[in-house]
Amino acid sequence: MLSPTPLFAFGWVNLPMLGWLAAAAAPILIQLLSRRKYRETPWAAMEFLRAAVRRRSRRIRFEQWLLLAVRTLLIVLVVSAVAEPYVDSSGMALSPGQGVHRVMVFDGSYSMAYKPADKTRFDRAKELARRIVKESPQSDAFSLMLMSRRPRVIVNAALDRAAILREIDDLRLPHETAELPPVVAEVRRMIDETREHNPRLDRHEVYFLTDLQRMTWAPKLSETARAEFLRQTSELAKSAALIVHDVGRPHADNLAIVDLRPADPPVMAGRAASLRVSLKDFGRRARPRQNVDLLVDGRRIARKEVDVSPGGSAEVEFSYLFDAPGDHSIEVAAPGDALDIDNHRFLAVPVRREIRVLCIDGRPSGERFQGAADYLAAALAPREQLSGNARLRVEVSAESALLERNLADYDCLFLCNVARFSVGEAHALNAYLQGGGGVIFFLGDRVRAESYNRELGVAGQGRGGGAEILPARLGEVVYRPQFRLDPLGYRHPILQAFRGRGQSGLLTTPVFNYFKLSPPNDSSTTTVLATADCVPLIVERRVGQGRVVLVATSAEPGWSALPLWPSFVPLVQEIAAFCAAGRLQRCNVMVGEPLNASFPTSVAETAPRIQAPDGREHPARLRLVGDRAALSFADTALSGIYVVQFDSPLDGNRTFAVNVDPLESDLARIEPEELRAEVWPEVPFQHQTVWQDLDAATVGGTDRSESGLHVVLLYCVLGLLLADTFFSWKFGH
Amino acid sequence: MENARQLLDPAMLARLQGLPLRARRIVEGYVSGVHRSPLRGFSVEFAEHRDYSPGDDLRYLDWKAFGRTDKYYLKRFEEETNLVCHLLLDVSESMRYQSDAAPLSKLDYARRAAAALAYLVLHRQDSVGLVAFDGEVRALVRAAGNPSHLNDILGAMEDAAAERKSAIGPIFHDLAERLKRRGIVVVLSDLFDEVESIAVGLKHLRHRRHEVVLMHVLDPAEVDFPFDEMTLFRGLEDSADVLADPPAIRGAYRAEFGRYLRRLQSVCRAAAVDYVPMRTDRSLEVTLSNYLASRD
Repeated sequence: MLSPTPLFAFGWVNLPMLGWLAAAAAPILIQLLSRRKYRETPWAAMEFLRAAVRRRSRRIRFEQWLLLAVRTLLIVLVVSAVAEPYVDSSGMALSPGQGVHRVMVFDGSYSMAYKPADKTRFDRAKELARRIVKESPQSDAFSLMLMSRRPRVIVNAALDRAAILREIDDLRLPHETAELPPVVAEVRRMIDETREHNPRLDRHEVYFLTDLQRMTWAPKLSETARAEFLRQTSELAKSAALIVHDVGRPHADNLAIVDLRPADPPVMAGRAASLRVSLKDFGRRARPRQNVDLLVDGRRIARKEVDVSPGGSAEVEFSYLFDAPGDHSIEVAAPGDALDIDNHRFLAVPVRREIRVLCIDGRPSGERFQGAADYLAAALAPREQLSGNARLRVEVSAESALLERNLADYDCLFLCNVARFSVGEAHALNAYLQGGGGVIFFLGDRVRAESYNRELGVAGQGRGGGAEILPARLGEVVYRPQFRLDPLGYRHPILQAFRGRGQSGLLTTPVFNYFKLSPPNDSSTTTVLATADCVPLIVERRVGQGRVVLVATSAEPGWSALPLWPSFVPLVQEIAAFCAAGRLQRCNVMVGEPLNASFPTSVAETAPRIQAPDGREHPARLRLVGDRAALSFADTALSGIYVVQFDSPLDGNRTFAVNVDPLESDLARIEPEELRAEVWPEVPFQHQTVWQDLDAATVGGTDRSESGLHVVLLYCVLGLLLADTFFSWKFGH
Repeated sequence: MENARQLLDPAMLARLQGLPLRARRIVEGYVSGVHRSPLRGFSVEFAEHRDYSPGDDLRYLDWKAFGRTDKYYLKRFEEETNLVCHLLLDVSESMRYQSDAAPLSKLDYARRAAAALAYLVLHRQDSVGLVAFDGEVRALVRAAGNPSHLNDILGAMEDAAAERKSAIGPIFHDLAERLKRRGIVVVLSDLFDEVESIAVGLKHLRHRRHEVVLMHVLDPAEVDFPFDEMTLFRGLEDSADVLADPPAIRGAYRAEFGRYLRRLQSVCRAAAVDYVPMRTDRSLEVTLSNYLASRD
């Protein structure tokens, strides 16, 4: 039989405050104590005194009871007003045995590590969560979630308070950014699930414990994504009360190191490497003579000072000579503000003795400069020809090398006028790119465009799980000489070396024949160089950890004068350096991105360990992929240096650097009014800066505090105060 | 005796000197001089001269002496002190009470008043006697007129200890029988007894043709009841203690006390008794001089 739904339910917002009702006994105790505390005096006129007491005793008793009642009621009403009673006309007040499901969402973005005093914002959020758990009724259940790049559910609708408190204590702040939309969706899913499996928990409250950083709370979304986000939030607000608890502060200064990179990758042993450090101030405070320290392999090498203007940027350049090849870790630090995480930037540098380049000649010839890759090989290692001391070690081979050789031994592959690719070759190229290799296509008269497009796949074409290697679709061959090229503002790193060097002749390179390239509209393909009428001549795209560069013309004379032009040598050198940097890219990732590495199968049986920046060691598993052992480690929540260690020193270690997203360094906040207007329009939520048990403050988006009962009580208190004063005066007490 | 002498304030006595306690009614004297005597035709014997002072009856001026010496002398007779003043001093325990606002206890105040009156009476060659009483007569000094008699009175007052309960009405009856010679009976008491009983006693005294002056000695606290804190009133004269909240009963107490005073005054008026209220926080000299002046 269904129990009838009450029309009105009575409850308290701050139920624990009712404990203070015990204070109502104070007037009675004071009255009793006052009868024990008296002065003594001898007295002669006892008859009159006795007569007066006799006459007044009834009245005195009445007056004392009246005053006692007024004063006791006064305390009861004050306590009741503070406990905020409410009348819920929806009939949703708690019935015996029912409970509230409280979902606590911790902002896991690293701005929560801001520490203006002795506690970080995250510490304050944890304190608040502990209070919510401790001060809530026993029948309530709790869920914990960390809002980071992906929502992490830590506890789901648990009742064991001790365990929940332990989980809160164990929470560690990742160095990630946080994304709100997936969290809202996840919380909604969680509540729906709880509603289904635990109907006793018929009310839900979601606490966002956050610093309201604009980066997190005002996400830049497409129209579609924004509509979906709003729909999800509105649905959530219908089933749960939303409380945004603000642990931030209106204004916070911050200085961050936003970039650290080698100026001229790849870094070679025995050559001084230039390291560029970019700093940015996200506040209103000038930072004169800011210290910037350089640490290589954990040792402090140098310190420089730099002036950073308020809200401005600054660059510092260090030079360091790596003696030995191998993986090295670099750290720069600019300490001194309340958010320490972004005061450090890390770089893992695979220092190379040489860069190995494999040139696949699609039309090999026994005669000098007759093959498709001859000019290219000469341009890549010109000094080798002269002194044998080049930083590029170039090998030229036929197409069969794609399957016969271990491509992972090479930093980049140049494919010159290769006619077509088999499926196996395409697969090998894709695996090579995923591992961080660089592939450069020079086309030519032997190239079969349809084979390229089909076997290699074109970015954005959706080949159903197959590789998408080519940055642009190959069209027909265009026979239209071009005598003027467009560098597109030298924006691409490959061309930056040509800026201001017109004598290199890059822009006047005659190009007679070229394939028409059609980059997809919404891919990550970038045009490096184009003809004067904006037809792409060189395009590039990132594939996996590696890079692909597609040159629309050939690397041999005939289709263009490029191999003979002075710009050819620096151009191919820059392309090789750019693609070889993919290896550098592979060992420098952002927080939350997995660490990927491949090793010879000889180490597949070993159990490497990964040492994290906090000193903890994690076991890692290797997985055989083809003829390589692949390692993938996803727990990169902390920024810093990660080292993959093997038992055998012969296998060497592999160093990775994990850095924070500098966008999170901007501590600008979104104010509650802006949140209401911009992010959650028409979504009912409460903004709090002090913890308040909302046991009954909002249900289903209805603000119960509007009942105003506590205001009525306060008026009664005022009336009683006046009555007490009047009675005291009247009775002479 | 030194302590007893402290009851007499010379300055006060000097100021009271010109205000003698005269009998308003007939008293049993031997001459028809200062006080009217019921014994008409009784001859008296010349005793001495004394200096004339303003206010003296010119009938007793010695004109012969004036003719000889050109100075005014008043003839004094052997039994001029025909005024007999009986001082009835209440020495019950309630008279011991002294509040913080009062400089003296009621008993000390009454003693000083009695001492001053005794001095004034003796200074006028009249007779004065003392009865110290509570529930019984504790000390009795018969009326006499010689100056050394003052020491007897002061000594008796000093020896009287306030330790017992009073019974004013019965004591008045007792004294009415004991005091044979009509005179002025001055009662110095807080009069904390049944008003009816007091009234009967007074009537008895008046029946014996005494002129009665009731000097009601009260502590200011007994009139005003100024206490603010919860107080345990420890009863004097074997009364039970009372714990009370003074502010709550102040009004009622004052009403009770006022009613008692009004009844007492009414009784005094009915019995033709002079009622003289005396507050121990007020100047004894002023109170006495006002009263004595009002008698003239």
